[in-house]
Amino acid sequence: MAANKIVSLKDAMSIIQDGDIVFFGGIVDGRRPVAAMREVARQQKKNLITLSFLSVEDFLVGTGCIRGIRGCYTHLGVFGKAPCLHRALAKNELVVDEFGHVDCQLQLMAPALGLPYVASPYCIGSDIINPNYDFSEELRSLARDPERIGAKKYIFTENPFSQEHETVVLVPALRPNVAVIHVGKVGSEGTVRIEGTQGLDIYAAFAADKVIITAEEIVPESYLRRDPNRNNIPTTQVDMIVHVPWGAHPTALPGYYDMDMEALFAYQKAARTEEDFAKWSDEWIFGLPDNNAYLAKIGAAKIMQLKAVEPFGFKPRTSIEQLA
Amino acid sequence: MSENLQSSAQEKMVIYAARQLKPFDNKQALIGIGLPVLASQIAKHLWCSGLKTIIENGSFDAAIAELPFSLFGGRISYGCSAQLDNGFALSGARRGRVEIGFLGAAQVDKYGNINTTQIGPIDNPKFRIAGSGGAVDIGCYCSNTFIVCAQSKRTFVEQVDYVTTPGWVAPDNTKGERKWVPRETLGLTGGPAAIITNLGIMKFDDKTKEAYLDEYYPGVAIEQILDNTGFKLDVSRAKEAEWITGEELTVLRTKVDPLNIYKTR
Repeated sequence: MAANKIVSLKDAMSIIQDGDIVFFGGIVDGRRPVAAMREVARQQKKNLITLSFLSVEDFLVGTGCIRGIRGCYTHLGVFGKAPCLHRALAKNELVVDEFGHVDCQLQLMAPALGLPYVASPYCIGSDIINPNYDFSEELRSLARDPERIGAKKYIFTENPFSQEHETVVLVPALRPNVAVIHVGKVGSEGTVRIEGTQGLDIYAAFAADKVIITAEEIVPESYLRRDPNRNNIPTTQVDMIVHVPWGAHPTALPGYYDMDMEALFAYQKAARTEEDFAKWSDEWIFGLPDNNAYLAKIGAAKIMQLKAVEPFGFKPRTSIEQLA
Repeated sequence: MSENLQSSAQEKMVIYAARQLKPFDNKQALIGIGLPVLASQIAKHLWCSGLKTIIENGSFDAAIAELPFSLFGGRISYGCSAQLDNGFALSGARRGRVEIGFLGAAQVDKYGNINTTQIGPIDNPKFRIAGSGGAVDIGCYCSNTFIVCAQSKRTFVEQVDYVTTPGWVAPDNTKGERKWVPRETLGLTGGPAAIITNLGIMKFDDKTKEAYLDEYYPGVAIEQILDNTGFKLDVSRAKEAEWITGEELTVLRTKVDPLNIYKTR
């Protein structure tokens, strides 16, 4: 009999330990596991290192959970600066180790395929590979298991297969302790179907020690297995499953709902001062015990306003006839 | 056509950027959020309906029906040929299949080096900006990278504080001391094709690889451009750009961004 992987959000997030390297799925403002992030804040994790993009999880910098990131982007998209990130940088409470975008994928692809490192041409000619901007040591000092992070961000060598003294840049594998990924549908044993961009999630699911899937719907395995080529992550990689409707709000989930622009602008404004951020986090994180309380607070009117329409996967602003 | 149509600085920048795409029908372009999306949509409507747009999130041959605010939601995925992952999209330039890239800049220098990472000296940065995103992956290998940004002494600088995306002469960080070298010696392909601003269009000299003023917009004085440029700019080849047409403005205002989502007007 298949082991029961379905757990509560609280129990799932409790496996994250202080000093873990945590991969949060999705990109910037699309398909992010935001409900899971709020639970991480409630459990007051410390010294977390995250990967790739730091955008809506800005509040986890403000609540003192995230202390390091190796990634290529730290901004709130069209909403502007990530306010908590900038405050933390000014106070020296955050390490940002800039990386290339493809390199973000390669550092996960390497462990996913069992490789110690990969050769990458993607940042040659950039200061991203400038050794003066290598913050590996700082990240290692935060990590519970420093050996997961290479002693150097990049190593330069000659391509041993070329006669032309061509320089190649080596990117070390980076194995996250935990990957948290939000999707529309997951089977009851962990088969995952992603709608919209896959981002780096598939690589992360094969690279991380533990994989937690939060999902809008838990559906029968047989339903997803009718069309296995449309599935993205197999049961064998998934450790825990959590049912979290609207778990990506206020980011977008293709096929389910639009980005909540109002909520994201409101956050960007509220987070600009420490006092206002404290009020915001009390109202939207610490004052709400669980996801049901969060959904009640958003309200049915907002949910209907954002709900996607078939077949578009988003909520059209103009007439449906014009788009079809 | 030389009618004096009222258009905002933002509209000018977007339309002149769109015109750069005219020769690229049926070619592939890596497109980012904001003005690049607008520019590519105008070009597709008017001149190159066969332009293939690839988005950083792995949307291939995107068919954008409704203008998105984000590169990562349903508006980008719906109707594209295949929705894969970021690496497949961004590696397109390196594979040699992508002719066009569009990038923004917080700072740009005369060689087209772009900074979107941090302001301030190497050992004492003042503040961080958004980061590379996919800029470095696009700008290292795209045949033609178009840089779109507002022009001022703050953005057009003698030397950028941090090279996020290499231009024609770029830093080699792999051999001990940081050294400025021609980009091709690093194995990089393509390079910056033009900088399109709110005032005019800069291109790069074939020999010196330095930016020169190619076109200034009607109503803009060359002096004004020099006053907003922090490096020595050759203006000897400058000519007045063709006026923006009613057709271009109509397409932007009624077809591409009817709701003025990007507040270009």
